[in-house]
Amino acid sequence: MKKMIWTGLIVLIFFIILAIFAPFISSYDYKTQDISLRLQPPSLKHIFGTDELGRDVFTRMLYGARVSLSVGLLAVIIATFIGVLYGAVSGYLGGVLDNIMMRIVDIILTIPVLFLILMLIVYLGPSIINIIIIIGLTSWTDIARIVRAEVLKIKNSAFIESAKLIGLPKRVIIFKYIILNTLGPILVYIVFGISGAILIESGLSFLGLGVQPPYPSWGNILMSGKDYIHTAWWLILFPGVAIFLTVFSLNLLGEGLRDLFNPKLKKE
Amino acid sequence: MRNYIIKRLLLLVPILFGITLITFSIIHLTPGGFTTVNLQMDIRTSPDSIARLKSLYGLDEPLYIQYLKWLKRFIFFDFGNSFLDGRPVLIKVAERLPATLLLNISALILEFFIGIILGVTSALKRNSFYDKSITVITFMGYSMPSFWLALILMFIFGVKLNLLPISGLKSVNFDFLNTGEKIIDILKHLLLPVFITAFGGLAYISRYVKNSMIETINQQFIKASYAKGMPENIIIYKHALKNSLLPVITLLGLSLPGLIGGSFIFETIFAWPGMGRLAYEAAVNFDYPVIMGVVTMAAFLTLLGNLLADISYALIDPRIRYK
Amino acid sequence: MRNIIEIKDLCVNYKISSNEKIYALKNINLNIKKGETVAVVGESGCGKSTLAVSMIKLLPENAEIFGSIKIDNEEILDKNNQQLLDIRGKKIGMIFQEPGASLNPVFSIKEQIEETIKIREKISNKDVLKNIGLNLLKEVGIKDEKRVYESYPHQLSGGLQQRVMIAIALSLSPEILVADEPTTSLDVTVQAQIIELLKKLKIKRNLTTILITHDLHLALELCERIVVIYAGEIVEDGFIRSAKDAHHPYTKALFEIIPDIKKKIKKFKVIKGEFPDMKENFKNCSFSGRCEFSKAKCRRYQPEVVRVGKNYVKCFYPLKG
Repeated sequence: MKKMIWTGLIVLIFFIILAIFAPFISSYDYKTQDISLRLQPPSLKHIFGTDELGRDVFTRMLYGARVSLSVGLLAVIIATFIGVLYGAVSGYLGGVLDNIMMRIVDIILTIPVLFLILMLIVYLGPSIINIIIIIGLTSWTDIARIVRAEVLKIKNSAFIESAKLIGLPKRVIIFKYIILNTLGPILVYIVFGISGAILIESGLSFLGLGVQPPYPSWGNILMSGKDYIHTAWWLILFPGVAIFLTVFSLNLLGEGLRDLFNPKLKKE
Repeated sequence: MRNYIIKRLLLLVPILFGITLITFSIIHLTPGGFTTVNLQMDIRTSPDSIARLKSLYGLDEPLYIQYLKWLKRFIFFDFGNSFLDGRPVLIKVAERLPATLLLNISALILEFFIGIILGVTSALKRNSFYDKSITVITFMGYSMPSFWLALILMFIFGVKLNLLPISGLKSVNFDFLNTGEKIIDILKHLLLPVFITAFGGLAYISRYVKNSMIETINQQFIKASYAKGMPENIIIYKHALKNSLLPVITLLGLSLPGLIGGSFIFETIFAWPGMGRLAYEAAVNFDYPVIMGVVTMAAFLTLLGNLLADISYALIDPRIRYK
Repeated sequence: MRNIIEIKDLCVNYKISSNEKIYALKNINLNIKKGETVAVVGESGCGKSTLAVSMIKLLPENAEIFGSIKIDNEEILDKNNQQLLDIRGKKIGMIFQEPGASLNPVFSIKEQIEETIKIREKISNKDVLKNIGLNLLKEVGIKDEKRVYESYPHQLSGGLQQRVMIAIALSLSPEILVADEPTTSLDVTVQAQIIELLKKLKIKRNLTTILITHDLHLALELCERIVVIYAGEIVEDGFIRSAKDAHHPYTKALFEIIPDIKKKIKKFKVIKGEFPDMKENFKNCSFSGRCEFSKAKCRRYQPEVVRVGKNYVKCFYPLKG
């Protein structure tokens, strides 16, 4: 369990450092084209080779890490914010309102998320900001359910009752006590949410519906690479491995955290 | 039992109503979404189609009237005509439905078949090397960007080894083949997309089945079956299996939205002539009515799938059947 | 009468972690004659249920088992799963606490009764199977056996479920019936009916009956011979009807805490102290910590089993009665 958390964290931190210090790690620019250098295989000068426009793939992947990681993180922040608020309010107030709010969640859950995203992209247009907002807007339902369930669990516990007795306003009770107590499951959700968002973003970018050139993303490097699959394997291999490693380490971290916060497993 | 089904069917109504409300809101509330300006700026839409669209959605009328009119059309599955070729959306969607169903149902069967086998065998050999390897492999599959895996498998099996076709539902010479060859041809085309679609979900299903199986094996009625002198293989493959697989039926329904949603990625990669690819084509061409049609149809299919799963659960589980 | 069950130096441990074990049964020696009716009495967690499942070698994976259990002179601890089939169901039928949990919720009663007979007796004729099944249900006192036969477990009351379990336990005509807390989850009136049924079956089928219970009332109701287990050990074995017959301080205490409805009760009697930690392998008398008669010797050494009157008692200072 601890091993999972540490492995996941180390790989992630490595990617985050690469993303943050991209300009210092690579001396190339991610958008400068040089047709004379197109489709060069990996060499000492270009360790991951160059793409069809002569750009350094390694540099584009560094900047792509920025895009992928921040899309994942920001989208999940939006989703978490909406979901926590929605779930906490629904669970705490209960009654008819809770019922209506949960039926709305049920309805949203029956619409396949990716189609919903596709529809929104068409209406809003693909751009990094829109992708973040769209993924955020379409993936808060799980967290809302988790938070609601947790809220119901602790709503009637003794310390909430005593908080009510002292006369703390409902608002304070909801936000201070309940949210503090649901931090564990929320954290687990955030980690899995980021990995899911990265997969969605890269998938959309791969199909040309996500991050638009010249901005690099692991997905759109793969998109341009797929036309050169016979000749330039490096365009396919490296971005794919990067996505896989990021998602894999996030999932490891998420699994580890879930076990950590699961009191049933703690005893063993 | 009949009451249960009637209740479930009645519940469909408010949910469908909610879906229309959500899609309608997206059309009308999205900034820059469905305004005339936005449409006119897009060179692909002719003035003619804008007029048609305006009349379909009645954009100049009050919002609630617009909604009611739209809802009336919606009930009859009238989503208007495609901007691209002017054909009715319903017909375009219906044409693509069989291919999507073929792909998704095959993938669903494969995914659950393998997932259940892996789950049951890991439960019986829990904590063994086999169990741990299955966990790692399925977990990796779960973390794999499926479109990337698709790309690589297409390259290996389609291009390098030339074993499998890499796109479409059938070969160019399909019409000249006899029935047997036709089936083989379609199966060959199905293999890669079905495998890719199924692979990602294996981790989830096998783990679910494994936990369910372990839980069942620890139940008292399993102990009682041993005590009454039943052979072990019958206890496991008859009693434990039936009990632990029942909740999997619900899982089947729950996995539908992801499966149908994911189909637009796989169908696009494999040029599979299904609904997902239609949605993609519509998206890149800003063909609004088609997108709307596909989304509602997908939601409808999901609902239907869920309903079927719940009803079959109720039919199989005597605790619900004879309530 | 010959001994149908001979248990010698039986020890069962459950491994709960790499360095911790629960010592569920310690040096159990117990002989039961054919046709006898024996109650095994003790507090919950004392190991009495482990004794029941040991007799058909149906222990969880983490269990270690030593010693010898002979059923009809056949050693069962050496048997593999295939060979154990001759014991389970055929020699020993067993019923458990909570009949609702003992029946598989997704198969009909018919299916659950018939499957055993079909497989073990190799009978495949549907009418014959159904006839056997319905007769079994009648035998355990079910009046509307046809309805019950087609039912699913959740449609039956607890009492009916337990009757069905008894029918299943008897379906291969075993010589021994082990009932592990058969009435604990049932209403008092239903409890009495089940005990009546067990009495009737015992006579009709000449069953050797072993009743595992924490309830002395039930034990006295059904059985002459009482085996008292405390912390995994048999502390007294014999013919006990009241506190006067008890020679072990624990047995005496057990009888004394039964409230007598004829007397006015001022205060319920309790056994002082706590049940010992089963993770410990005692080198002294396990009851010495709670025993009002305990002396220095009791707290230091293990007592041997001695014969007092008709009873066997594991105590340095058995009571004279």
